[in-house]
Amino acid sequence: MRIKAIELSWFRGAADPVSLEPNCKSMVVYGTNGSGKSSFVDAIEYVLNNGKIRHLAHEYSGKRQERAIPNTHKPENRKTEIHIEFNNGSDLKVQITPDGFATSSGDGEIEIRTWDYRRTVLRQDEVAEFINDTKGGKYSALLPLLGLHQLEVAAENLRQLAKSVEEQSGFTEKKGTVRAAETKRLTNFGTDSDDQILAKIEELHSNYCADNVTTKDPSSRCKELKTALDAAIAGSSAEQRRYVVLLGAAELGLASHISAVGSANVKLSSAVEPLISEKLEVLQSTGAFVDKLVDEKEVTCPACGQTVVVDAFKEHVETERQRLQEIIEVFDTRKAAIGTLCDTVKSLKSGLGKADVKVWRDELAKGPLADNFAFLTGIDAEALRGTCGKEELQAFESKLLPLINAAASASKDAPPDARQLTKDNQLVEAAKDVIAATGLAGEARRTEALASFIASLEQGIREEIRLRSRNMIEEISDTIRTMWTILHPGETIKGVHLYLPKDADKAIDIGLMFHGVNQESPRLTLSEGYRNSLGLCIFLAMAKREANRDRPLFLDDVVVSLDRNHRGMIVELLQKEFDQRQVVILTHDREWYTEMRHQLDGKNWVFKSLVPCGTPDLGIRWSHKTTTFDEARAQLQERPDSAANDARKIMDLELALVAEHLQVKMPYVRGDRNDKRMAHDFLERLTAVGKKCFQKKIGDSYEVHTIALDALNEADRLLVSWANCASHTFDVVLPEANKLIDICEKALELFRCSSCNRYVWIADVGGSELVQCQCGQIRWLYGKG
Amino acid sequence: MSNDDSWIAARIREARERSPLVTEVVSARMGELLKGQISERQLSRGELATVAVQLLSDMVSVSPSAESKL
Repeated sequence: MRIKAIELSWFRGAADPVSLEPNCKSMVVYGTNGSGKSSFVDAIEYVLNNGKIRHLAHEYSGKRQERAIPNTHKPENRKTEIHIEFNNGSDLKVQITPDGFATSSGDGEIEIRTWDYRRTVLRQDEVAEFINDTKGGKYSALLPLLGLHQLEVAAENLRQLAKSVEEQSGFTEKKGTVRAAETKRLTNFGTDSDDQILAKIEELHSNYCADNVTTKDPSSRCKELKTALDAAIAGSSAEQRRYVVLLGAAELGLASHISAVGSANVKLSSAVEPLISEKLEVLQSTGAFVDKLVDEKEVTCPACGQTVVVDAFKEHVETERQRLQEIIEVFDTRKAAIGTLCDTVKSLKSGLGKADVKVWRDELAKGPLADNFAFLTGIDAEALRGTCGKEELQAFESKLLPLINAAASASKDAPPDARQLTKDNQLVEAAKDVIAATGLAGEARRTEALASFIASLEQGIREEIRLRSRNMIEEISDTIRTMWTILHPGETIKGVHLYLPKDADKAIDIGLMFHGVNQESPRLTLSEGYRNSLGLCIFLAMAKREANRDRPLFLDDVVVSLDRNHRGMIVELLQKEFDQRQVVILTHDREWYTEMRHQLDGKNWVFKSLVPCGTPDLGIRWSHKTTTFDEARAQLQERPDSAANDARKIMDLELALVAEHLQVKMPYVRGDRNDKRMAHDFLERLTAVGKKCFQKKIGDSYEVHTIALDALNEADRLLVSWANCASHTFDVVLPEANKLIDICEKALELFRCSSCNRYVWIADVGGSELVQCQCGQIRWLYGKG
Repeated sequence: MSNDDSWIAARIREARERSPLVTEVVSARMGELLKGQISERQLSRGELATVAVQLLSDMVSVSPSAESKL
């Protein structure tokens, strides 16, 4: 879809409706700084970016940029509007209220909303932005253009979803509980299998719960057993109850639990924990790095910087992974040991606090163990889970172990009944925890499986992103190289390409060959002009990916830092690569504008100039000055004097450029008269030096281009006589004006080759000696004048 | 995101081969999520938590052979 017209009313620089009318053709708009040409690009950006214009996104413009978008001098009864008409008859009208809210209507909206700003508009300040951006920034900028944004969103969502799954399931806590239960199982059941443990529970159940033989579920059996054992203990004698409590305390295994935590602490001092996290992050990055090592034989380790063989590096990374996994095991073991110790201390506190051992306790509390009981009473066992260090362990050893020893001593003569009750009670307690942990272990396994499943999906999507990115950027790189070669023929900067750096995900950079040396970034060597030129190639290469869609391109002052030679080649690039697209070029470079008028086909291109900056209430205005011979001819019937005068103005401007292209030395005149030379001045000089410089190929040799010189002479003669009359006396009739226009047009056309249709100055040949057209049919010898 | 159902199905199949405990229900739900919500925009923490809880509840129908006796 092409744009027929963009009409602005009180939008940015526009006042009363002003319309940019390419009429579905390509267009070049010339305007000095501040003439308002970028307002049309702002309008396109406003529509494509949902009411936002990036260069207006600052603290002064307001939330909806309402302080920057309407013309500052908009009368209250006028509306801020954008109206875009398309070649298929559809249109889009946007009305913007003073507080920045916009309403849109028109059947062209659906189509234009599908245009991507970054493939539609390139502004001066955006040209080098891509080149100068970071690798990650380039990736972010290109990703939507590559059509992979959805994949990236999915991968990121999956990464966070895997974390959320673990958080929501309480995965870490469950794992801790399971490990604590494993320790308890080992202590109470040794290496017994599940079946053997269940058999023991079944046997105890039949002993203590004979009335509940129908109960089969292990967990229910444990509950019934616990109730029965509590009842049995409660029904026993006071002495037996005392023995049960003391035996329970004595056999808690507190010393071994303290020792387990102590040894785990030694292995895993607090300094190791952050190291593990850090190492894991490095390894994760390294793992991703290793996965991408397909073709390389050697690689520089991202951790230590040494060059190593890839296979050895992979092995090294795997060993590191295993080593860290072992440390994680130790870390988990420590956590479990602390959990067990805390549970044991709680049991001890609970047991020795019972009324059954009050007499024993009160007796000892009067003696040397008074502090020990006070310590036990004051313990907050839960708080220990976070801070179970060396000091706490030493305190447990000095304060709690004497109590355990006292309990063991007091219970050494316990009768067999009390011992059996104690043992059975311990088994049931342990079995209860083991059975409960089995359920938790299942949940933990399921969580682990789900998180791993999601992580695999993320990995699969990231692989797909890499694969597609690689394929796409190879295609785009081909296009960039083609364009670069057009802009920079025969130059020593070659092999320009986008690439995915091997050492980072979510990164893209630009590589090139600079005088035969590989460069990882254009920022290392390229000048600002070259970077901008490259930025333009990249934009156009991306835009070209939509070559099958006839959507317009807007280039707003993008050649500012390019020198004249390279700027001139942009026209060739557009003709070669975008002849089927609508291109709107806006420039403040008058010389380039004139050059483009020379080079671009008037059938496909429209040329318009804006009046230099006026006042905001006058707004953007098109220049009505005649700019082409055809437009001059259009005035012949009504105003032949004006038509002839316009032909002279065209010659004034065009001949100045011709003289500059051909390096014709003009006599020096004082002051600003150097810049106000007329067509006659140039023609006089061109015809004088042209006798030696301007040649045409006849057979195998070159001869003076007499046809051109005659035409220039005739144009000069007519300009001096009729054009001056037209300017001063208005005494020029239609046939005279018509002839003047024809002769002037013909004279200028003779600087263009009739064979290759290129100007005589288009190709440098023979160093600084001469220029010629593309095919060499006409040429101009420098310095011969 | 590729709208190609077979591409999504293949990724899920591959991921499931690595995590055999994952249920059919989870696979089906993940397929729908990948075709829609998850690929459309970045989800908030709360939205992700809701999805996570759904998936966890979909994981309960694990085959008995995958669990131990206790």
